[in-house]
Amino acid sequence: MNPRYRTHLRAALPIGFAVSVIGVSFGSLAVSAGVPADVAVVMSLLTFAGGSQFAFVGVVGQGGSAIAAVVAGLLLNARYLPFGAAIGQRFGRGTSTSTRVVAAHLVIDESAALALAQRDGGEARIAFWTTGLVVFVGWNAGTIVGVFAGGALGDPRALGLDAALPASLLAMLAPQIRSRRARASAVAGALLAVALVPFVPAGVPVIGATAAAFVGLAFSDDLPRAARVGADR
Amino acid sequence: MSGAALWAAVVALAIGTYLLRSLGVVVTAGRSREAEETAGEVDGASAAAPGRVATLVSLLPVVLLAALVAVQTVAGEGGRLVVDARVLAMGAAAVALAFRAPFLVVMLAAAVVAAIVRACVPGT
Repeated sequence: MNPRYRTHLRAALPIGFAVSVIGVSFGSLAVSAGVPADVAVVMSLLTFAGGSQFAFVGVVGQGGSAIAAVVAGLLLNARYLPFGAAIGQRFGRGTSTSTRVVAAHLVIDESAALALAQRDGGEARIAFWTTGLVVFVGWNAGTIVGVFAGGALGDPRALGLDAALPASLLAMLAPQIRSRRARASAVAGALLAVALVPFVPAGVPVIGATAAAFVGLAFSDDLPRAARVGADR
Repeated sequence: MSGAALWAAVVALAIGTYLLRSLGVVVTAGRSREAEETAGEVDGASAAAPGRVATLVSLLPVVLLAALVAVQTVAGEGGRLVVDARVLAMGAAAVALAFRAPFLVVMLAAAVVAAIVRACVPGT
């Protein structure tokens, strides 16, 4: 194997493994939330965005409407727009539109972080494809195992799996709240969401909490740019 | 939710997500090398659109993640706020993160603490 690919593969494989474990918990949680196995598997293939899929299943599990589930998922995926633009620029002219149409489906936090960390456009392309494909395989394989064998694991709650999910989101959040602006926005978002829970249907609190981003404008972005790129997993 | 509504929602989420992803990736085809080099120095959001809007967009993941963590930690059936094993589990996850534990360890810490609390105190 080309050593350039080997380096990127070495970085991507542990991420792919972690994602596959999350995929297993997604599959089993989806089924326990009342989402049929085939729907969950197709969802992982077509949506391929863990956070939004958990949000979607969470809304369904709490008896929320289809629209609330979709809107919660899409708001969570809104970050892929700037991620996609940044990755597209790193690709440069060497990447045709037809390749980009396929690449777009692999735009996720992990592939974006590893690709944008590369200085060279060629390396960025290799990092993007390697990470994207490894995570795609891991996520979908994990989902399939989860929907069919998840039941054999027993009650996800007794195993604490329902707590593992917000913990995984917390782990994604932690490296992103190094600046005062980000921390203030995070705290405001959490408080606003919790305050909304008793008053609006499931799924809506998270959407309403996006207004907390305005709180961030009042705080300085007191972190050097270089550190921020590194902080972006 | 009926089966048909569920499938429609899944397809809508998939299409919407793909559009969000592809817009940036495809529109930037044919950008100059100069743009390519700047993109490496600034983060994703500000590379796409500088200014206040970009700041808001760049804060969106942070706000959404924090809101999701909070809601998934204290929201119970029918819009009630409950303090149960999940709160202690999040504490364990936060401690693991403070010690720079890897992603999997953070998840495991939360799951193990929640499972232990639930085994010891029924109904949490």
